[in-house]
Amino acid sequence: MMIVRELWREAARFPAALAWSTGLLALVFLTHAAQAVAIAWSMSAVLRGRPEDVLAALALIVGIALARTALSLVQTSAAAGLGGRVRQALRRRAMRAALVPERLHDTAARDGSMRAALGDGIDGTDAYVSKYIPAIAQVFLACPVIVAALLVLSPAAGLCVAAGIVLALLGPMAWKRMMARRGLDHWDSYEALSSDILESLRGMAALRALGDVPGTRRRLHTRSEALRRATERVMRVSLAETAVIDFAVQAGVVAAAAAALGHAAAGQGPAIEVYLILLLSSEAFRPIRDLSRHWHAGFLGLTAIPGLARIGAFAPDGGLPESGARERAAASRTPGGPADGPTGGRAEELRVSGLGFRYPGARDDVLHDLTLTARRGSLTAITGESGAGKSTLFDLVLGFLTPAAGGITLDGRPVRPDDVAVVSQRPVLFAGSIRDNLALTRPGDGPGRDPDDADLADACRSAGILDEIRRLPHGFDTEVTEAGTNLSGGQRQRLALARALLARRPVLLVDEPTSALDAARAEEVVDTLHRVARDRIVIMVSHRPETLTGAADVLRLEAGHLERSAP
Amino acid sequence: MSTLSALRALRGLLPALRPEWRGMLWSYLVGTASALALAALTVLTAWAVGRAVVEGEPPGPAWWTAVIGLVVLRTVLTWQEMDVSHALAYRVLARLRMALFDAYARSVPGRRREHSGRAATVAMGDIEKLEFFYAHTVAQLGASATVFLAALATATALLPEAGAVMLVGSAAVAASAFAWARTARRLGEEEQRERSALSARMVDALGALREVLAYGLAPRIVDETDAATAGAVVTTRRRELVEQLVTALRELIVTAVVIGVIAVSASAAGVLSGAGAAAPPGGAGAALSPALLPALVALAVAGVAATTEAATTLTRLHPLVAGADRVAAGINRPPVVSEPTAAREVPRGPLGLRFRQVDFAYDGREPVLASWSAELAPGEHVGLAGPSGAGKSTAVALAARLWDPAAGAVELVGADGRGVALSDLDDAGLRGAVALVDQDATLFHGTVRENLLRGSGPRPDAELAALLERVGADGWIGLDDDLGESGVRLSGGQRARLCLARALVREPRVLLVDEVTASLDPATERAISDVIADYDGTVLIASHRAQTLARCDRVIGIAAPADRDRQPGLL
Repeated sequence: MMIVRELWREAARFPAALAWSTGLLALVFLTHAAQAVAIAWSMSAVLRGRPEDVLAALALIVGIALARTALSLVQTSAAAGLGGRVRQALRRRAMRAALVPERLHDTAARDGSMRAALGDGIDGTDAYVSKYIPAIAQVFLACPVIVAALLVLSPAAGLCVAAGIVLALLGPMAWKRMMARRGLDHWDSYEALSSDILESLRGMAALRALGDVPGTRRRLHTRSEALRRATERVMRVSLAETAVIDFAVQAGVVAAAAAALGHAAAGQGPAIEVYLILLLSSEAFRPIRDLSRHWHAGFLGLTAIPGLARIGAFAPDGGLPESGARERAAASRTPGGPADGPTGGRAEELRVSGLGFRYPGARDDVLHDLTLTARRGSLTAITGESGAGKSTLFDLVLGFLTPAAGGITLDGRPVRPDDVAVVSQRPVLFAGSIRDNLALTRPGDGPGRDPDDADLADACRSAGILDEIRRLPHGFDTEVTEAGTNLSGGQRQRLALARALLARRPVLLVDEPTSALDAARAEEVVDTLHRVARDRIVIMVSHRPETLTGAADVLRLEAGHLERSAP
Repeated sequence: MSTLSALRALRGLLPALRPEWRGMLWSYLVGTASALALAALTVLTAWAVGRAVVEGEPPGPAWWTAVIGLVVLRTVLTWQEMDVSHALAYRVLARLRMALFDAYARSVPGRRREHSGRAATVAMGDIEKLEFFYAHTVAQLGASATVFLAALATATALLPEAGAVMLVGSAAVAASAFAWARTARRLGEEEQRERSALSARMVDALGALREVLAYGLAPRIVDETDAATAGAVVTTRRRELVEQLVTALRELIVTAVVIGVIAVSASAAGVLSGAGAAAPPGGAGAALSPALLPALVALAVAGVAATTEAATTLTRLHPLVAGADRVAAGINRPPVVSEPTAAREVPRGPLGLRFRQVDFAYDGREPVLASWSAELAPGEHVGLAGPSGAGKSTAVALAARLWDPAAGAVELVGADGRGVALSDLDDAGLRGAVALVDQDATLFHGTVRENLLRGSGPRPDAELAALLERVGADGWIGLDDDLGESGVRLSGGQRARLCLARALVREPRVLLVDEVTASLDPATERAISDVIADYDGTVLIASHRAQTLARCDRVIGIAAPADRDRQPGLL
């Protein structure tokens, strides 16, 4: 018996579903017990030569079996519902905790492991919540009742069965801790090997060109074998547990049978009692067997629990580690905010003065005494190598980071998060129509109105995607299929640009807008940005020099400073 | 998917078991012994109880010895069987992982330009799920069959009618393995698809975090994930309901068998025939003593339970079929280059490169290169120019023998002017002579030293450090620095410099460079062009940048074939 507190707490948040699936499981068990009684009755009726009793008992068995069929189906559905609700709650909370500004700069965070925890990790809890928890409840509800019944029939049999149950429940606990530890170690190395193999599969072209296929294979094979031996070690501990439970079950049943034999030989009671002792003692171990089976099915899923705790899946709803995100989300859900806000209007000048920033624990400042003025009317471009601090600068402007020194002002007042629109390198699109996706940044309850078709067309024309949308079968109402897979990278990027334009924020930050585009398309997008820059302040980060031609200001970020460079 | 193709998919998994036949046999023997011990235990117990009730006789010491012995034996055998079968399954999974690696080593990059990374991820996950198949299927089905036959024989010997009931019941149970199989397979497939779609969305959202936060899209993403999870829960619930329905059906059949056995033995004992309580049980003419009834019931249950176990195993295989199919598809990917029958050595001395009437097309597309020829003299630096999609990257990839041309040949040319086709060369020799710096600048996790030495023998640190200096990487990174996954910590320029250094470590006689300067800032581009220009060997560099091409001895143009789709980058 293994109690995972976090998951019990989660399951307890849905008391009705938990009670429902546990109660139904107890009812299912009751049908098993009743069937045992009916079989004992029928056999003793055969013995006593009572045909009408035999037939009645057999009819009873049929009725019970049918009832169990119905009950078990309802129970399965209830249990799946409970597991599903917990999974949903965990994922909702973990997603909320993952979508916070802090993650932008967490060097330890790897999207791959985050995805593993959010996906497989959360799904892995299902077996424990939907099967194991009700099974434990069943042990505590059903076993005492059966043991009590046996004690009445034959104290010796009752005691034997009780001893078997206790041994089966407590015996494995002796090395549960060791097993959990080994399980964790194993999971970590398993994940590491899996990602190594994946990395090799993805980089296979490079490996082949390097002639390193045999070498990589040798390395992976050695590590894979080491992992396999580790897995076997974990498995052996786990199987020893299975063996102990199996022993407790068989020994308990046999001992109870011995007691029944004594009962019969002493001629103490009618035959039905002896049959009952035999059958009920076997039934008494049914919940234990269920428990063992479900443990086996759900154990691997539990190794992700510490990882889930780390990403905040178990945090109570009140105190999520997402203070910043909440406020930000709240702030940006109501664009415009106070009436004096510039949103929808224009601003002339974004001024960055004396800006300094250093990540906690870093040796050097990422940005140091950085000064920049971006004006409406012409595109400002920033180049520099990826590590040079461009993203940091963006995050400071967006308010995701707080500067250590200096400040950022828009027309003389501090810049606010809802002054700034942004287009990522790989924008996210939602399931829904193109129209829905474009209107995202302009919720209907904002200032002005929901964007109408004219607004959409304007923005899309500016972003250079209008013609392509018009060519689609349903125009703006075409569905963006899941994950935007029916759109090319360039189309996604231009849709995101249109979406950013619709947000009508006075500042637009664009991160590598042409990285997924061919030269002709890239030129179009850059032209678009130049046009857009007439109405708002546009700052673009780009590596590709050809995108920089025509930019009034090309600034090169190097070692935390901006330098003017020749375009 | 039909039952037939499902069976074919599962059969495709069997060859991986072939080297394990000893383990399988042992697993079968131990599993059978363990199941027989359990059956014997229940039957013996029931027999003793029946006899004690009817005849008032307690069992003798032989019975006690047998029962206690069986309890211990069963425990040991259960442990041993699971130990053997799981260890075997882990060995098979490890072998499958390596088989997948080998298959990709032969077939990646594919000529179809599919996103192989995603397929690889899926196949890796599927391999882990096959543990159930390898640990619990083949030997266990055999053991179940053996136990069933033993129980059937014993029951038939005791009372033929009971044997008949068992046989019919077991046939029904076995048939249930295919009940709703199609639905189960479909739901299994659906679950898998929903899982990977959800995971892709979460990765996208994490990747576009800055945009998500700026527009306050997080609540919307959370809602969407929530709805997707709810959808997946519905699918899971339906799959579990189907499974439970089949299980319940099976339990009903088992119950029917119990009832049937009780009924036929009651009749055989003469209880039901003599209308009323007149006939004394076990009287003259009765075919069965009532004392044997509990044992017979236990025997019937044990026999049908064996069939049930086998049927349950088969039912649990249905949702795995889709995964098995994907693994099989991964392992059987068609190779993209052929093995030479008699590998030849790379010619000595400086090498030239010759494309002779080369044809090449990506799967299902118009040819990229048609009868294309070009020649590079030993030591010559040649640029390859042309619009996007003209085949620059393809030509470089063919020279690196990532693929073989459909017709014609790519040859290394020795000092004597004689060429040897790449496809005839010994692979290790070829890789030692030709190095590629690709567009993606792929690095692997591990230290800088490990990355530089990938595919080449050990080199002194001083030599490696000098190389880092040569590509201008000495200022920001050292040999012992860890790169992290795919070199994520580095900028594009930094990665390109390291990839160039890695190519130079091997002192190749032919250096192939594909668009490496495309996404670089001008300073890095200049630095890299300088290193390549100084390089003493044959160089083929594909680029669309005038500055890069200007430093070559000669530039070969590739014209874009007319009205062909514009194609994205090569790899």
